[in-house]
Amino acid sequence: MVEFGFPAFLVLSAFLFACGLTCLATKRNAIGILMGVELILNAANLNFVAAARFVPTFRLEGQVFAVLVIVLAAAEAAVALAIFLNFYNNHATVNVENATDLKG
Amino acid sequence: MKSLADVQNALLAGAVHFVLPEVVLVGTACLLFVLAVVYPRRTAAVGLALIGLTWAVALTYSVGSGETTAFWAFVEGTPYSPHLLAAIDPTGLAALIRWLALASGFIFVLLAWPEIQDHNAGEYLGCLLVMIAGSSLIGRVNDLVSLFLALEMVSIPTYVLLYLPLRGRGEQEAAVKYFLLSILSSGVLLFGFSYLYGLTGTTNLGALLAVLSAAHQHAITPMALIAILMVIAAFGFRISAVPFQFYAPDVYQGGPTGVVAQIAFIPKFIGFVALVRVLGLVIRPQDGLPFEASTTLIPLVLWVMAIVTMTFGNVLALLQDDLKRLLAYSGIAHSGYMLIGIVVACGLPGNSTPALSGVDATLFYLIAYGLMTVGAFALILYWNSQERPIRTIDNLGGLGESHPLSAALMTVFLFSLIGMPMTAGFAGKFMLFVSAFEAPVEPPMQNLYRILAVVAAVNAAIGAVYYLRIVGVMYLRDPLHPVSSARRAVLPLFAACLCAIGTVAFGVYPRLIADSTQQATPLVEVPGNAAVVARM
Amino acid sequence: MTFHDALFLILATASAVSALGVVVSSSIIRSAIWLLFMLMGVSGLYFFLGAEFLGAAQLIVYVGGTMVLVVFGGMLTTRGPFDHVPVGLVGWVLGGGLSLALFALLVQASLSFVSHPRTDTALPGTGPLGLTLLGVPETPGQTAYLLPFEIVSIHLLVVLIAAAYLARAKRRPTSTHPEADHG
Repeated sequence: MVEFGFPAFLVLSAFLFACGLTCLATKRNAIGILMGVELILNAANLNFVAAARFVPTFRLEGQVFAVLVIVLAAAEAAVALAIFLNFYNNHATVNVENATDLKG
Repeated sequence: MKSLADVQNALLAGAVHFVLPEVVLVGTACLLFVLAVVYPRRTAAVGLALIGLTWAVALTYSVGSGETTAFWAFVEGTPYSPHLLAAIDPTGLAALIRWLALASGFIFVLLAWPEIQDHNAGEYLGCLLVMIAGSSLIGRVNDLVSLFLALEMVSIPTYVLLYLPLRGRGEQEAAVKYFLLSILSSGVLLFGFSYLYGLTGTTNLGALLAVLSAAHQHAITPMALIAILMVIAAFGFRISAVPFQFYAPDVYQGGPTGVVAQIAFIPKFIGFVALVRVLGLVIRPQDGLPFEASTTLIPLVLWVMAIVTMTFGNVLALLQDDLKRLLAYSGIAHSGYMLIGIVVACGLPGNSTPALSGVDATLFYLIAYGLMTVGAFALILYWNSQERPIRTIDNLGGLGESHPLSAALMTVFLFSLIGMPMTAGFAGKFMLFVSAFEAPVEPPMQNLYRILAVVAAVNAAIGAVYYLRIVGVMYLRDPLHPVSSARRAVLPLFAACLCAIGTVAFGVYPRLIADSTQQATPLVEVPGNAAVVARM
Repeated sequence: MTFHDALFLILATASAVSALGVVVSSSIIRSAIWLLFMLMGVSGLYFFLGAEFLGAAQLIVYVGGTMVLVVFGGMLTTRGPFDHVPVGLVGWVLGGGLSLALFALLVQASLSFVSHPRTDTALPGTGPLGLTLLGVPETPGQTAYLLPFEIVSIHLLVVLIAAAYLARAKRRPTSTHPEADHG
């Protein structure tokens, strides 16, 4: 029986990466594109953690990289939400004007 | 003799001293964020930002070359190479990059003045200082993790800055577009880095490159090839090289002018610096370049990229009427010229010592490009007013009469962009072309390099057409609108003067900068360190 | 097939199928739910690899925090200008084809990778990870990551300020346009 080693993880992360790219190419929605980027980030993170497990030298570097990327992804999502909501507000001003008037 | 652990602890404890100016900049940014809440005034914020920058400059000046000496002192008497161990490497490019970042910081604070108001001054300038600190770090961090995060330290404030000053529809589209493409490029870069880490098991840049070049003496592994191509693609976005350039015209046209000036310089600057560092061109490993091996694939890829980028940029710039769009395409074309130096440096055989290593020519051109492009944006900012907006080239009509000084400055920048003698643009182009022409390589590649130099020269001639058109409009055409008597902000004009002085000074006497760019990129080699590399 | 391998196969298949779901769903909210499962699958793989802290962080920060933001964003903007834009056949063929080609290339490169033998020593736990982030390397020869840790905290600060600022400015709509650009 073949053991699933580092290459198996590499193939999986390559698949996630390809899915992310397809998302970027086909989705027209900004949130959809953001999700594609999240897929790519996760693919990279999986590589880091798997490498930390299978490359028999240092054990921590891959994990540190992955932790920091998770934090960074959260930060980017926060900026993304702020930007997209502002964009949405401004680009739908023609329709949303009534609603803001009602709210005062 | 000191043990490995001793050396490491010393390097770790000493590392703080290598980033003091950056710490000051980030500290000032924090103060600005606080100031924005308690005392939201534009004057106070600009004053505080300038104090922070001056302090950082004073620290940089007082350190001088002392950091390099201190860096080497850590390993004195031991067989270890600090490049393979330290988290921060103040040798090579680092000092020059820090000076450049700080100088651009001053110019951008001056440019920010007309675009900020009391209510957003603190946030704007705080983000700007974080960006400057990040770009200064990129020259010196010696670790993939830090390099990636330092790149993000420039990107994230950029998203915010694109959004802060103006809130029209055009700006917002520009911001969303830039944001999505920028996080995509970060994702691709990270994926490339993850392969590099998987191949070597280390994130220390020096050690990683040493391991790779030892492994790639005969052939490059497919994985390393894919990794470096992804890294080149991701940096290609930042330097707006074809085919990753398509965001640039829209963002330049839609974005607020002061921020566009930053986007025109800082991402290109850090993109090139990070690229030469990851390609191992600054501190060359002993066993040859990490990604070149015996193949010439990477230089070829960059060669094609350089030719396509400069031609695409120049040809499309011919068709533009919008001034900022034109400058976007011109920026793309200039990225193509700058890539020439990288191509040359990538293809240099290990033992050669040419007069120009390629990287130094690119750095020189980068400085020249920064001066002339940022100067041009400063003047657009200066001329632009509500009654008389500057959008298309035709808006510049009659400026030669109504604003003789600023029109003369613009002419200096445009002549430098063309590459007229006595300007920094000429000196930079000359260095790039010579480095390509004189590169000590074998015949098949030698011909390619000469073709590259010739194509670049033809492109420079095409570029002259659209730059001269702007000069013609300024001096020969009548104004479209009556000249407004509105008070203008003087600070952008002051910034433009500084840029023009630099453009002319470095053009008349290029050694002022050429010496430091050459010192920053010595063709020295780092010995592979058995103790560290043996971990593999 | 050992239990280990079966576990890997299950987790990997779950992640891969969910990732595919993100791509093919036409509705944003559905995509987000698929992404949620993908993130959970990846978190399971982190546990599988022995990186417990990362698995937990993935669940808490990513699934619990980031995804909530994405789902919010999706829900708040789905009536927006670009909702449910069907992807044309050309888009699918072009995007899918390119990604497929890239995937084939990556798989080829991955399989040619000289695999290291599996070492059964567990990954270091949370303690060493935390110490290295604070600049205390566990063993000589190890890099410490104090600087990245500080940089990432600056990122969070900038993002916090930016989000607060953008949210605050929304309440003062048009009065703050100095040179509003409606061209």
